[in-house]
Amino acid sequence: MGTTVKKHKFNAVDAAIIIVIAAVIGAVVLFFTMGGTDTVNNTVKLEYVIELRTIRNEFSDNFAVGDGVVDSVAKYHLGEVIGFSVEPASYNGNDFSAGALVAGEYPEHSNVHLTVVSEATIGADGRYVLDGGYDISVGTTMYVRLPNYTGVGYCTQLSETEAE
Amino acid sequence: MSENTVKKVRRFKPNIIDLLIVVVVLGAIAGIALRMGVVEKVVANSSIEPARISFLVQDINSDSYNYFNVGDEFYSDTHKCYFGRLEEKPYDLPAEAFIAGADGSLLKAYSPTDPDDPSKSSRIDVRGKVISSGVFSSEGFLLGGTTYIAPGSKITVKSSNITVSITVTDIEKVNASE
Repeated sequence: MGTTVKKHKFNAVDAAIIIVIAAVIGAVVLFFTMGGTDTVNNTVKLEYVIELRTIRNEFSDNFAVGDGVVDSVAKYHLGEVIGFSVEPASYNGNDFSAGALVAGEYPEHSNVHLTVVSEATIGADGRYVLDGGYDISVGTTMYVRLPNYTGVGYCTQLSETEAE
Repeated sequence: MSENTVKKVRRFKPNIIDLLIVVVVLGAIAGIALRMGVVEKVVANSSIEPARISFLVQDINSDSYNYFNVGDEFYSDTHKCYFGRLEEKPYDLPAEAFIAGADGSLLKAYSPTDPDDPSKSSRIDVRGKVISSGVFSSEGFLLGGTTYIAPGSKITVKSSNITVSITVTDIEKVNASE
């Protein structure tokens, strides 16, 4: 008379399961921290200008103060429109006979300048970061979507309006 | 003398590895649901409204105009979803182009006439409208309740007859009386 107690032995299958679980947890952590930048705990109010170049005139009325601006790619919230201006789109052409560059207008197209305000943090590298992960500076190519327009533009101006 | 063995019933005792496996499986299910927009669909389905989407097709072969027919159903190849039904025969225009003049200025021009048929242009632009549905949210229009599109969106759409790249030019609500 006796009992048989089967002792569990840690084997290769258990090791494989643990490795898979660790990899999945690591991927989840990486996903949620991806795009984030180390930030100094310093929040500022940022005002910047997005230039949407050479858009068709039929879209020039599609903007309004209060429009939310969202990054089309990663869906970061980039701020709110507090002003905008529309001007004829410019075109630089070649006057071959005179051997000169000439500035003119691009017919039936406009440049739109959106003034946007947003909260930003300052990264460890001194750069501004919107919505916890969108790095912005003058020259940044911005793929934006607004309630009534989507397109690509560039950040042309940037300034802090007040420190918090 | 026979040995009597007492069979010990092993009770299942969940341990940390079992818990981790359950967490991973639940996380995978949640991730798939979010990725497929299930959550968005559940939230958005309740407020889907009919919409009229205006579009512009630029610089296509003039013969392609024959493949836009009233009632054609279009699907967005870009977003892998239903786009809309052509409401009426669209209208075509000679394709516009912007060319630099000799003095460096930019001039608007139109496609020349087809040598085989002087009554039409060899290349055309097409403007049309489809009837679709979606959610009109504060952030914009969600096609089918899930896919953001707006004036300016460049989409590849296809019907049973034709595949074209379009630019969305306007999105408006359709009145119930229409």
